Order: sequence, then C-alpha cells, then structure tokens
Amino acid sequence: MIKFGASKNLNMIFSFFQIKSKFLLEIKIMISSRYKNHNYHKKRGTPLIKCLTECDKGEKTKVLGVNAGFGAKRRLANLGIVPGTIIKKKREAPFHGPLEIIVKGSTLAIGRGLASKILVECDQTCDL
Amino acid sequence: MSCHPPKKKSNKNNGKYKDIINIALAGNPNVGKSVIFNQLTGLSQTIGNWPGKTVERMEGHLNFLGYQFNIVDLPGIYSLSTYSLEEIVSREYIVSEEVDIIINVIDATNLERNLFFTFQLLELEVPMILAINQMDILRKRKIDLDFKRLEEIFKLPVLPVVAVHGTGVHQLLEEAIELVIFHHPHSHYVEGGKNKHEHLSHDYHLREESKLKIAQERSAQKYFQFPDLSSILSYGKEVELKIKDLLILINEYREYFLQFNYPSRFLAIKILENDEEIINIFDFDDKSKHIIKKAEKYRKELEDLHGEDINTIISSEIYNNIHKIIEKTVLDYNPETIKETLAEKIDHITTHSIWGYVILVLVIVGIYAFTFIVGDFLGGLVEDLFMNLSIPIYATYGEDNFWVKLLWDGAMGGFFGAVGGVLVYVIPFFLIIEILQDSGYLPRAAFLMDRVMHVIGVHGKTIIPMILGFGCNVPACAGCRIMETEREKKISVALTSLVPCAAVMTVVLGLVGRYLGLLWVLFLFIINFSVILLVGRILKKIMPGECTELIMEMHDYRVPNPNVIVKQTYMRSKEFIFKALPIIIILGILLEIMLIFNLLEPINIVLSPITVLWLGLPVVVGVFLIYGILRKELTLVLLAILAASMGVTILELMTPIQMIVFCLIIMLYFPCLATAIIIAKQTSWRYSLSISLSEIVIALLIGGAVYWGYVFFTNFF
Repeated sequence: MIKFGASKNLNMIFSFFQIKSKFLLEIKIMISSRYKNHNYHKKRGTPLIKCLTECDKGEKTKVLGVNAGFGAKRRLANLGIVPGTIIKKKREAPFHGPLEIIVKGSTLAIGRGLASKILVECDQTCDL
Repeated sequence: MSCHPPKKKSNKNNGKYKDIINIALAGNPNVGKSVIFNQLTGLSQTIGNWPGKTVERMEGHLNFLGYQFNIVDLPGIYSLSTYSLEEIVSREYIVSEEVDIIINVIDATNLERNLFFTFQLLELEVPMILAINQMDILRKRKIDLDFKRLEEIFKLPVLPVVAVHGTGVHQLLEEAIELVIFHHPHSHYVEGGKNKHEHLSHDYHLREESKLKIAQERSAQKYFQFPDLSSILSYGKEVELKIKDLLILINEYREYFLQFNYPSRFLAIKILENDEEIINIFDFDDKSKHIIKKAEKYRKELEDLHGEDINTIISSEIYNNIHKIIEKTVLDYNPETIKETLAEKIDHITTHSIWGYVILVLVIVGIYAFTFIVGDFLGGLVEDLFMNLSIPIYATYGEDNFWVKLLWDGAMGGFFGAVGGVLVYVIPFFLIIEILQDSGYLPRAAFLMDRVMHVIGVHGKTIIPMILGFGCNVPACAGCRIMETEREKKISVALTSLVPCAAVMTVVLGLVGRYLGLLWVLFLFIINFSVILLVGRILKKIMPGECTELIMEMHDYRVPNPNVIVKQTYMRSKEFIFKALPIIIILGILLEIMLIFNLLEPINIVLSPITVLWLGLPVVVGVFLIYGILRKELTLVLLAILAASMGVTILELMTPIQMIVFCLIIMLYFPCLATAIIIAKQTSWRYSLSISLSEIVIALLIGGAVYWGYVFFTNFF
C-alpha cells in the first residue's frame, strides 16, 4: 500500500513533467477514493476520529485529546492545544516531516511524532 | 536542578526613597518586546548572561521625566512552567525584589495565546502594565479593542502600543512612574475625568514636593496592592476547592516560603500542577512533604474526574476565561479575515517540497557570498591600514627591535588580525542573521529540515544555528541558545562547530578549488557533511535523554525593521568585541613571543610525526596549523607567503594529495579559538575542550585515512 503523502508528492512530480501513465491513473483513483470516503463521513455528519497526521491539508478539526507524555502535553496545553480547540492543518513538510497547523490564530509547526499523538475529530460544525 | 531564590532583601519597601525604577519586559516570542526595548533604551544596552545560566540577559537604561529606568528584556516564553531554562530564569526574576514593575507585551493580532501568558503573570501578583502591541495591524483588519473594558477586567493599566513607530511606548513609562512612585493605577478610559490623575508631564513643579511626600508614605504602606482578580483567575469549582485546601496548608508555612517571593496561591497551583522546582521547595521536612502528598492526591482526583491531565484542565480553564474576555472586549473579532497576502505567497513558496529546498540552498550560498565578499573587502582595507602604519614604525624603531616585535607585531598585529580577519566577517554576518531572523525565514528552514535532523538525533530547530554556521561559527554557536534542552544545546553546538564557515571556505576554494578544480571541493564538502552526520549519530547514541519533538511558532513574514536590525547588529558586535577580541590579542602576543624565541621550529619538529609521517604533509605546515587555531584563513595566507619567499608556486610546494589532506585537516581539526570560547560560554569549558579534542582526533583519523588510502591506491594500481 502506497502511503498517502508519498503518492500525493508523486502525483505532483508526474504532473509537473506532464507524464500520464497507467500507474499515475491508479494512484489518482486511490486518492479520489480516499477523498470520497472522507466526504461520505462528512455528509453523514458522523465525526471521524483520527490523529492529526491523517487529516487533509486545510481541514479543520477539533481536538479530542493528546496522547503524549507529561512534558509535551503541558507544552501543547500552554500553546492552546487542549480538548475542544479547533485546529486547522495548514501544510505538511516533505519527506514525512512536521506539520504546520493554525491554532487560535497563530501558526505552529509540530513534529510528526507528536502530531500523531494528537487525536482529533472531524466535525462539520467546526468553524474557526 | 536546584532553585536559587534571591536571598537578600532589597531596600524597596523599607522606606528609603530612590528614583530608579526597575522594569522587566515580559511576553511571548516575536511580540515586539525587543522593538519596545530598543525604542526605550537606544544604545545604552548591555548583553550578558543570567548568573549561572546560559540564558541571555538584555539590559538597558534611560532617563525619563527625572526618573532613571533600568529595563530588562526577558526572554520570550509561552508560559511560566519549567519547560526550559528561559522560563525558570524569567519566573525567578519576575518575583525577585529587583523588579518594580512588569510590562507585559501582548501581540494584538494573537490575543488568545498572549493572554494565556498574561494570566500566568497575574498569578505571580506583581505590579504589571499590559502593553498591547501591533494595534495598527489589528485596526487595518478593521478590528478594535475595548480598552476601557480591558482595564475594568484586569484592574491594571492597559495601553495600546505601536512599537515599530514608537507610538505609546513612553506612555508605558509614565504609567510605570505612576504605579511605582505614586502607587496609583489610574484608568485612561474613565469618562468625566473624576478619577483621572494628572499626567506627570504636566506637573513638573509639583514633582519635587510630591517625591518627598511619597517617600514618607511609602514607608508606611505597602507600595502596591495587587487588585483582586478572583473573578477571572478562577479555574472552575473543583480545581478552586483543591487550591483553597492547599492554600490553608501552605499558609502555615508562609514564614518559610516568604523568601521565595512566590504568592501562596501560585505555589498552590504549581504544586498541584506537579511543577518540579516548586516541589523541590516543599521537599524539606515531614510536614511539608505532607503537602506534596496531599497535592498528589488532589491531582489524581481531579485527573480522574476530568479524564485529563492536570495541566490540560487548568490550561483549558484559562483559555475558557480568555475566550470570555475576548468576546467582551474585541469588537468584530474574526480570526479568519486574513487574506492571501504577499507574505502568505512567500510562505507557500519557501515551504514548498521542491522550491523550499532550492531557496534554502540559495540562502546558504547567499550567507556565504555576503559574508565573504563584504568581509574580504573590509579585511583588505584593514590589512592595508596595518601595512601603512607599520612602515613609519619600522623606520623609526627598526624592524628587529624586540619591543617593536612584541608590542607592534604581536599585540597590534593580533588586534588588526582580529579586526581584519574576524571582526570584518562577523559584523556583516551579524547583519545578515538579524535580517533573516527578523524576516521570519529561519523557522521555515527548521520546518523543512526537521525530518532530516531527526536522523542525527535533534529536531529541526538545530538547522538554524547550522545555517548561521556557514557564515561564521562564532555567533552561530552563540545562537544555539535557542535550543530548549541542555542535551540539544550540546549536540547543536558540536554540530555547528563542524559546519565549514566562510573562513574555511576561503582556504578550500583558494587551495583545492583553484589548483585542483571544483569537483574536489565537492568531495571535501561531502566528507565534511558525512562527518557532521556521523558525529550527530554518535552524539545521539551517547548523550543521555530523548530527542524532543519540534514545537515551534511560525510567525508571519514581515519586512525587517532596519532600526532594530542595525541596533541588534551593533549590540552583538559590541559583545563580541569586548568578550572575544581581548583573548585573541593576548594569543597574538603569545604567538609573537614564540616566534621571537624561535619556538616554532621545535613545534614543527614535535608535530612532524603527525604532519609528515601520518598525514604526509610538508614539515612547515605544523606552524600553520597552530596559527589556524586563531584564524583558519591565515593558513592559506601563510602558505602563500612561504611559497613566495621560496620563489615557488603553491603547486610546487604541495602535491595535490597534500592539498586535499591539508584542507580536510583545516576544515575539521579545531573549531577556531573564538568558537571554542563561545562554546565554553554556552555550555562548559570541559565540553568545549572535549569537542575540540575529539575534532582533532576525527581530523587526524580522516586525514590519515585519505592519505594512506591514496598511498595504498597508487602503489597497487
């Protein structure tokens, strides 16, 4: 199974060189099916629990909890990442790097390891 | 870590009158604290370290309305827990008797998070002024704040400030005078003017009279009554109950805790939050240990009740309270009104998965080019000046005079060498760092490189001092103070000292690049970066502790403020001149003494087993390596001089393999002396020495390996 982030990068590189191949088509189908799945949940209005790393770019989510150690949790709490906070994922660094998120009007970069410990729920009612 | 509370009591409250007001500027990073600091203090600043800590302390003075102000710019922090050294230093300083008043600088465009820190400061119950900065940007977004309401809520002066233009900055001082000298926090926003105290600037004739009166009053009453803020400083019913219980227990010990200056409520909250430093305070006898146990029990109860960590519970409550305040005071609050601006576009490109790296490389090349071109030009000027000054001195006293050699060639030569060889590179470099830092590019680089840096056991922030290291290792190692933990600071310093700086670049390009081609330069760089990678891997293994995750604010791009940049560059250069230059000059004298007494020839002989047998270099380079400790580019200059005096070119003096080995050694063998000193200042002399020694070993191993590999290769094929 090709990971989502990697396939997205590939897609970009291929389209950059205007190459269309069967392989690319397959990846596109994979991506779009994932998106469809996602929208399905959104339309039904059922919240989907996942970690921050699994969110799409630009997606707004609500924090459910942080599953990290004492120190990291305190630091995140001080920066406003507490249950109920609405987070918007801005972008991801290449090569599975850190995430850039918008919390309470400020932009933060958070290491991927830590971001995967932040549980969020997708909610249609999220309005930043 | 032990807690060192300020033991001695100052004479603040004993009625003795003085017109010095001590102010501390506190706030989140990047809120314009240093801009306000610069506006207030101008050039009368000193940079030092907090006693016993590796945290930078910026201090400045000014006279205003007949009062003298001492202003301390505290490091930018997000909370007053004990996550980093900066936070501990700030917390201890704020409650110490040295400070009369805190100015809390708040970024108006990011109120929620900034007010979180304000809430933490309020818990310390120190006299405080809230300065809301960047009001111009907020108003451009068609948002306004209800200052009258804010003052009613906080019961403390709240003032709008536009730091970059200097608007409202001096009003902060007027307010400070009123709070500290007249202990009269007045409101600016009360209509009718009944309570409105006349501004100090209007009653000069009354001042002398009132000074005396105040002096008498101060001996009688407490100089500042902190307002009752229990309405906003409430963390929910359950938490408050526990705090109250703990307060009763703590108050029994009030006598003992008074020396730590923390208010009881703050102690109660922090012990509930499991704050290591505070728990250490309590850990002294059975009864006080009982408080810790009780707090632990309460913490557990609360955590079970809420299903959350205690810090999360309290932080959520604070953020809830902040949200309520914002709803009341912010007119037209809508955080998403920010449009796609030019800054956003630049942000997008610089974090792009392809262009981001291209720009990163360009920035590094740019730092090299700028530092090198400007430094080389200025260095040439200084050298010419030294030469021109030397001619009359040699003419009058004779070139071989002992004192001329010692004082002119040694001391002044060392001085000009330090100015022309180090300072001229350092100053343009400081300038470019400040521009990069003020514009906000560096966090983007850390963001892009975080994944790569994890391979060598540190997070992305380490790339910031390393990028700076391409220009000059000296300030770059000083820049390692941004790392949060001691472990990361140590690793970053070690790695940064291995980054080839502009001086090393000169040697490599001037020798290998010129005579052997750029491909070999690339080869040398690959070796250098592999060494960095290897050292990083080794340090990752041997250093105790875990690699922490990156948590970093990425503030918006902005046009650098020339005023701030020039002042900061000036300050940093001044610091460098007074701290590193004297040592360099003393070493210059020492080297000259060695030259006079012909001690260098023995050194060459002593070093020859290493230089000649192991590395296959000519005998003469032994001395150059000694000089290289002082200034690495000096090795190239000396080599050229030697070649010229022998009437040969460098190519005849050294074989290609010798050049490569020589450059490798220069790249790796020792962080230059100034760097070693800075490393010692940042960490410890022991660590600095161990880095230097291990780098010598690494250089010798790799140099030897390349040489013997070459010998082996040529003999067999």
